Amino acid sequence: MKLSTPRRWGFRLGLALVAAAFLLPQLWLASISVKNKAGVFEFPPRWLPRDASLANYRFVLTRTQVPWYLWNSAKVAGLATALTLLAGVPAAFVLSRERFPRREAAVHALLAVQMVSPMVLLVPIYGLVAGLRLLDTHAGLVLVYASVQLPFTISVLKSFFDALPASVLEAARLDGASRLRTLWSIVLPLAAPGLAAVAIFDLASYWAEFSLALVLLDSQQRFTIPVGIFSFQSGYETDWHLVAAASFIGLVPVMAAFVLLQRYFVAGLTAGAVKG
Amino acid sequence: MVATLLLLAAAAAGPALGDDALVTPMRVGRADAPLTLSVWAQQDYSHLAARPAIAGIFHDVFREWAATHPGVQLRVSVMPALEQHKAKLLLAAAAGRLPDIASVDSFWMPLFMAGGHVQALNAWWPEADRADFLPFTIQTLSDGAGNVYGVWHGTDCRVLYYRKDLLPAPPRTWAELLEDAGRISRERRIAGYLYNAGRWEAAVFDHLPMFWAQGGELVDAAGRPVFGAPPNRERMLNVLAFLRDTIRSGASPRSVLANNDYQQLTSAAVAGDVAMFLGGSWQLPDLRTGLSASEFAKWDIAPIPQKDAGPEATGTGGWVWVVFARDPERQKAAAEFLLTVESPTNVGRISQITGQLPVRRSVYRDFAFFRDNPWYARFGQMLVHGRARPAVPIYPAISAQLQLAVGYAVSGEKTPERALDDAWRAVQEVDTRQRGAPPPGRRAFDPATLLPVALAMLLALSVLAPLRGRQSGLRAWIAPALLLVSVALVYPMLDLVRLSFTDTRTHGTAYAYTLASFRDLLTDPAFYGMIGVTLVFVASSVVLQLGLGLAIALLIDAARRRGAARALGARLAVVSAWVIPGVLVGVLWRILLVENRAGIVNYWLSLAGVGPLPLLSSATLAMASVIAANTWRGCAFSMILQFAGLQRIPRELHEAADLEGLGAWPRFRMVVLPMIAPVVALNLALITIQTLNTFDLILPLTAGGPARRTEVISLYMYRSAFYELEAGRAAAVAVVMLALNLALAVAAAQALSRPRPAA
Repeated sequence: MKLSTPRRWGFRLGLALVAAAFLLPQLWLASISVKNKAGVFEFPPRWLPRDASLANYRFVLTRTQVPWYLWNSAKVAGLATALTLLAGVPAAFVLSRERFPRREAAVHALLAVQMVSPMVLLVPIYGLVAGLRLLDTHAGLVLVYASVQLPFTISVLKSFFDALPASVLEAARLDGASRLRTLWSIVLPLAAPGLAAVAIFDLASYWAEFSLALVLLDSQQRFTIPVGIFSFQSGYETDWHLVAAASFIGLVPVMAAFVLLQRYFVAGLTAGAVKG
Repeated sequence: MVATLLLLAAAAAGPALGDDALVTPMRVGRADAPLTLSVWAQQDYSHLAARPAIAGIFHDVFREWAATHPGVQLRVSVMPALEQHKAKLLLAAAAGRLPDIASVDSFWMPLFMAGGHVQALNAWWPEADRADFLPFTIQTLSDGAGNVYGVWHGTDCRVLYYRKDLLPAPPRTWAELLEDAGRISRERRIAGYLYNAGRWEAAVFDHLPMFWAQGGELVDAAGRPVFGAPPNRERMLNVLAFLRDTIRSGASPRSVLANNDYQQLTSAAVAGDVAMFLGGSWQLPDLRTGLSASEFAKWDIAPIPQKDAGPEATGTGGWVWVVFARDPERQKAAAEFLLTVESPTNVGRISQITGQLPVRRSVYRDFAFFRDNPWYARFGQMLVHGRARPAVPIYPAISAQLQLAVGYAVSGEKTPERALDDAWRAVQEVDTRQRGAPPPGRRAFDPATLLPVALAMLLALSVLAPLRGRQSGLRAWIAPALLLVSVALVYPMLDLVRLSFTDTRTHGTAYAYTLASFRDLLTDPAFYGMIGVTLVFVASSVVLQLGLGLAIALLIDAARRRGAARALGARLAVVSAWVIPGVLVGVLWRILLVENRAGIVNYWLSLAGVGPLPLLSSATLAMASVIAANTWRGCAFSMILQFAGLQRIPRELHEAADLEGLGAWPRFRMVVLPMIAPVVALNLALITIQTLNTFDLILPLTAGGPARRTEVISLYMYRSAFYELEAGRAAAVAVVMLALNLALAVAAAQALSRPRPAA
């Protein structure tokens, strides 16, 4: 159906308004981050500050631990994602392709447990990690992250595996391929886009995770980006232009990844919820 | 883009750049030094301070220390938030993981002294040098036997800052203050008087001098709370009534309820928005650097106004370096480090920047900055009337409850009487509990702790065991996932239930099995308030996210179907908000909503003629702000789900609707809604769970304030467990949350399994 010009512009305006509502706050953060202390309180507020400089970024990147927070986040998120997939892929494959007793019960249990937020379990998880002597280590964090995200990961992977054509697998079986070989050379290549979606979704969740990292880490050197930036708000006085610069640095990797990989992001987001 | 490049450059260069430097963010000292000491520094008292000037001076001081101490290196950490600093130290003490050196607020000392964790410094600290310190700093930190347990680093006092050009003379009494401030706010349209009334320590401590000057006492000689009983009750009521009157009389704006750091006071002063504020001595340098010389000349300080003109009073605080290291070699190195940092010269240099008042007498004598500066002479005089908070274990509980009382009284939500009596009752309960608590120490062995372990193992085995014969090969495929889930998910769930029936503390003291946690919770009026807050937050967020998400999805879908625009940009924009970590969303919205006229949202509101509004300090608006921030972040999830749902509506249906000439609403109701109903149901369950467990966004945005008006169940649980260290009570709250989570999960599962209309 051809649209009349006013209606076409109506749609464009509507979309532009939506985009503005979600982008302007982020642009304001960027604006604050290149201001100096006086500029932050300038009245009337300016979007393009008079003497914009990258001094805040220089300070944050050279005099604070923010670069290490980024590294820590990358390391923890990467390792946790690897562990999640390593444990999750075989389990999801078996749950999808094999028939065995208690399988149905296990699938239902997974669906229920994946909804439980780790937030609820902060106290016992703290006790557990303390008991394992893994407080204030990235290993402890990785272990917990991978565990709490596994049910979701497995159920999404399972739905991807379920959707693969049975004939391909049947052919593999007739060829006498082992289960491992089937998974490695047939299933994984076919399910690669789904696998990528899950991996990216897990990475993003780990990158953003706050409450567990806050509770399980003590040494600032080991903080991840959310906890590190939270600690930028001082108890006595907060320099918002520095907080803004630090926050913006925290956003950049996620945004970059998101722009590059948004197709997978969205797939990961929908996959767990809306199945085929 | 520039930021990305910078970031990459720094990420590559950062760790390498530090190798030959003596002071890097990660290490102080030579990388090859054999002895490594861990240091937990105060937020504004190390080279990691988030404020460049302070970071700079410590950079210099630490480098000089490092140059003369090649055998020692330091790992310095700063804890997020002051409350966290204390809680983390207590948890570390319990786990035997205390750092070698730490900075503690002086009023926390009894907590650490009681555990025998703090080490005496006499052996390394010459008597003559100790004599240079202000006497109270040594006395407070000594035991009966003459052992000194810490090096006080800087003190402060609270004063009234006021504009000389607006006030010929500073008010001495509350009545004068209310009158002056009321007049100025009416005539000048700026805040007459600002102070801290947000939910944090300063809301109480800043006002204690008003209570002390009337002869009020918080605790008796034995350390038991007495502030709510006659004659102290009357005195505390006077203070609360005065605070209420600051709002009623128009002397102060309601935004004081959102003041939860001193920066908000400084920035109001720098912005020319306030005539008087109750602040701290350390704010002076900020005013001086923030204001032009001519503007700064308008400011002066005066003693805190009191109920009646009479005795002055101010509160003095201060931080203390303590050594936890038990090994003599480490102790010696630690003491040497502290005494270098706190040498007379360094104390002078550091205090000059931090604005703290030095505690070394020689600094006032030998350092021109302090000797000749009239401001410091006057702070020094005020310090004479200074009083520290009582160093008793119950003080944190008193402060926590009085913070709420201040919030309630100022917001007018409770009368001062109600607010005080509620706080008094709560503190007495804590006191009874603390005194009735079993002596510290770990419970020897509790067989009940094995129950959750056994159950989790049984559950795991019940999946693995039936895999026999040909299927036994499957075990290896499932076992890793099963192990992880059993250990770090199922076991904690079961253990949570056990913990909820105990009165255990997070730092693992002895405990007993009891229903007290649930009973206390159910009889605590604050619990129901918090449930109410949670319901409003969750219901509004969910409805808005779903509604807006659906609206945006419909808009994009309609635009796309008609070829108006591909709408990729709008979709990306919405989802970009969703990928931002929650904490950053909180920080971002805090910056947007900041309550001075330079805050962007308030600026727009005032352009529109409806602002500025107390967006974070009024109970209603703060809730609205938190909901708005959460909706902003969460919309994307609903939008994507709904959009996916809309894509599955066959084109023919839309074409049929077009042929029928169906209007927008009938089309939505008759064509769209039936098709996406299952997705909506699922979406509803998912975002309800997400919202129910959200606190990362709220913590930086309002921290649950004003008073408790944005404290949702998850924040309440987190606070109970990791600020107040009441693990048993937190577990009871978490069990309630767990039940809600699982109930919603079942609802979601049903929405999923419901047969979809054929496509």
